[in-house]
Amino acid sequence: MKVVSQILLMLFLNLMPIALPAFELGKINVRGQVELPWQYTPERANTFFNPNGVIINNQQHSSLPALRFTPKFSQGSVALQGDFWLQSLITSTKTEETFFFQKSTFNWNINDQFTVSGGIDLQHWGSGYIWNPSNPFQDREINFVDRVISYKRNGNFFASLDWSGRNGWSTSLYFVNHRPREKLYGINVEHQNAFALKLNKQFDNSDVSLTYALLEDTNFIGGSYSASIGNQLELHGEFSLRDKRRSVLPRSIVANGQDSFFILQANKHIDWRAQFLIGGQYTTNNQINMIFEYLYNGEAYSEKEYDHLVQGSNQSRLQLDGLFAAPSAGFLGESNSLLGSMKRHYLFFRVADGQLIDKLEGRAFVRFGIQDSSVITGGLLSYPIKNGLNLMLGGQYYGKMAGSETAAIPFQFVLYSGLTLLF
Amino acid sequence: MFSKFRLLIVVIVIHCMLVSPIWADNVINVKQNAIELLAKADEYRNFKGKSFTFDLKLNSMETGKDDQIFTLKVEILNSHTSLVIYSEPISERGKVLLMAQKNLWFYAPSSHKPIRITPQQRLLGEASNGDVASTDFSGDYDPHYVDTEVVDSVTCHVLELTAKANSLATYEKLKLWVRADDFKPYKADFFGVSGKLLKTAYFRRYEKLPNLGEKEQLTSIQIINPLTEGKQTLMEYSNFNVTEIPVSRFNPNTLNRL
Repeated sequence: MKVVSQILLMLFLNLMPIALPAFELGKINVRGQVELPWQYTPERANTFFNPNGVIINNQQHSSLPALRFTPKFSQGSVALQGDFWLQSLITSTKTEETFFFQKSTFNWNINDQFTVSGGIDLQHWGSGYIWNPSNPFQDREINFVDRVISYKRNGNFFASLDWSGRNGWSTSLYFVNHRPREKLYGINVEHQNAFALKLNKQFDNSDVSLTYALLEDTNFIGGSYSASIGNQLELHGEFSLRDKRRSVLPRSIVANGQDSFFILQANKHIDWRAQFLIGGQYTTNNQINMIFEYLYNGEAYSEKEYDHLVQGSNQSRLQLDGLFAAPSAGFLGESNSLLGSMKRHYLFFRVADGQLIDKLEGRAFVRFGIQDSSVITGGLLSYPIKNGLNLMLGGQYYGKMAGSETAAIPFQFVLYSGLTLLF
Repeated sequence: MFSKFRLLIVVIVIHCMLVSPIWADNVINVKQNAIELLAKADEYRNFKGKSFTFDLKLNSMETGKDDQIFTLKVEILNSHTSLVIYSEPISERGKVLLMAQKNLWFYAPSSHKPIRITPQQRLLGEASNGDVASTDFSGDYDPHYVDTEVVDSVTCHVLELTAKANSLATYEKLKLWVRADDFKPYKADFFGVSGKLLKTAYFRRYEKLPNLGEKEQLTSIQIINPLTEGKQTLMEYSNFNVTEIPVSRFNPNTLNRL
């Protein structure tokens, strides 16, 4: 498999001297992207869920070269589109390739107002920047902001019918075979069939949408709103309600009449949960864009539940050399995978300047956990070496406030740099 | 002597009969109907309410800096709804800007989701979003006839345009010079809310479109930034096509499928 990585590298080096145009394969227009990133992640030793670093096998240095193709074919009222990534993870001990099938769709404009679509795609909507609670198919990690590496994942099988009116109304009807990817739902989440009906209305300078979805046996209602206030300010908000909570919660397994080890188990009881986000963005006269958001995730852990998780980790640590070493290590490993955005109240702020110094683009963000003073902060610098070829440098730091969620993240920070070539 | 004077009077009278009444008539008419005059000027920029598409090359120039060139495909559904699809530079390719009333949506292939942006955000170098997508002064501004004026030896009607409430107007006020002979826009000054002059545009070139019945169309605009010397943007239009465009293309939810 190292051959693939070497081919990617050679291809990239060959592409560097020139800015390649998109190319044609018959009537198919093919565009693409090459990423050559490197990242450094020093571990944070002895956290709740990673005692003495024995749970997480951290590779401090890694590289993730990737190649993307986005073919497109249009003929009359029909369009076919694809979006595929091939990524290679290279560390000192292994090389591993992953193929991401993000999109492979057909779109047919039946007439002026109706469009039928189907295939594989990612379903994205909502007015929030960092998170979209009004989207029943949300799949984005909450803190995946401004990284050198593109966020890659597989799309969902779907079919949809869209109607667009001339008076600002529009409606979408979706069938999606969806697999939730939010960390809070654990690692054993299965695909589920879902239906969604979304209604939108655009006004002169605002829009509102309302969604009802049935995700297997879960009812979901979501809504979003956004508006332009003058030339520089935008305000937005989203909410959702679902009648089942999907988060995995710690549960002690009793053996021999006493608590012996913990597992994480999905909670599928009827339990209405709300999620919402409110925020805005402001653009200065100098084109500096600022985004501010507050988000509440009702499916996330309460303080009591988080304390219970920590209690489970304490017990699991004691079991690592005992009879229940395997399930205890599993519990700690899965607990690590939940970290990042498992609390309920967060504040987020991001600032971006497209011309920080000449052509150098700069972005920075901070996310603050209101309950535990957790902090994730990061930034990204991007410099266009030439048309389509960018050099990027960035990083994220995970705050170590005692008892906070980010202090339990098994890495101190991430530093990354890389080259991106679009063709 | 008397007969020469009489001859001169006759010539003046005949001249006045032949020319001045028309000219005077024009002045009276345009004074009375600035709206009509603006509509005539707009005819060189759009196709009387029909949906149409065109290609646009936008070159932002500044002394001592590399030119910033965008090539765009623009689709105009009506005076308040338009779509700008980026072709070049490579870094911008596939991005889409949708303007519907005062709603501005921006879609980038990397984000997979359209986001609402503020009108202040410039996504096209030095040109404002409205500079690119607006092909209709009449829809966004109320005109007021000011006077006639000779600019660069060209006789022009001068109109003052004020942004309509709840319109997509990018500027608070415009001063528009329209050629007196054929009503082609000749020059425009764009003003901000504070009254400060933001830009001056020269409508440089008009071409007959063989595929559209030899209609004469504005094909080149030079926008000069008076605040920074040497900063200007050249907008060159081509490939005009009057066509039915599905309204479904102007839906923010389907921008990722364009």
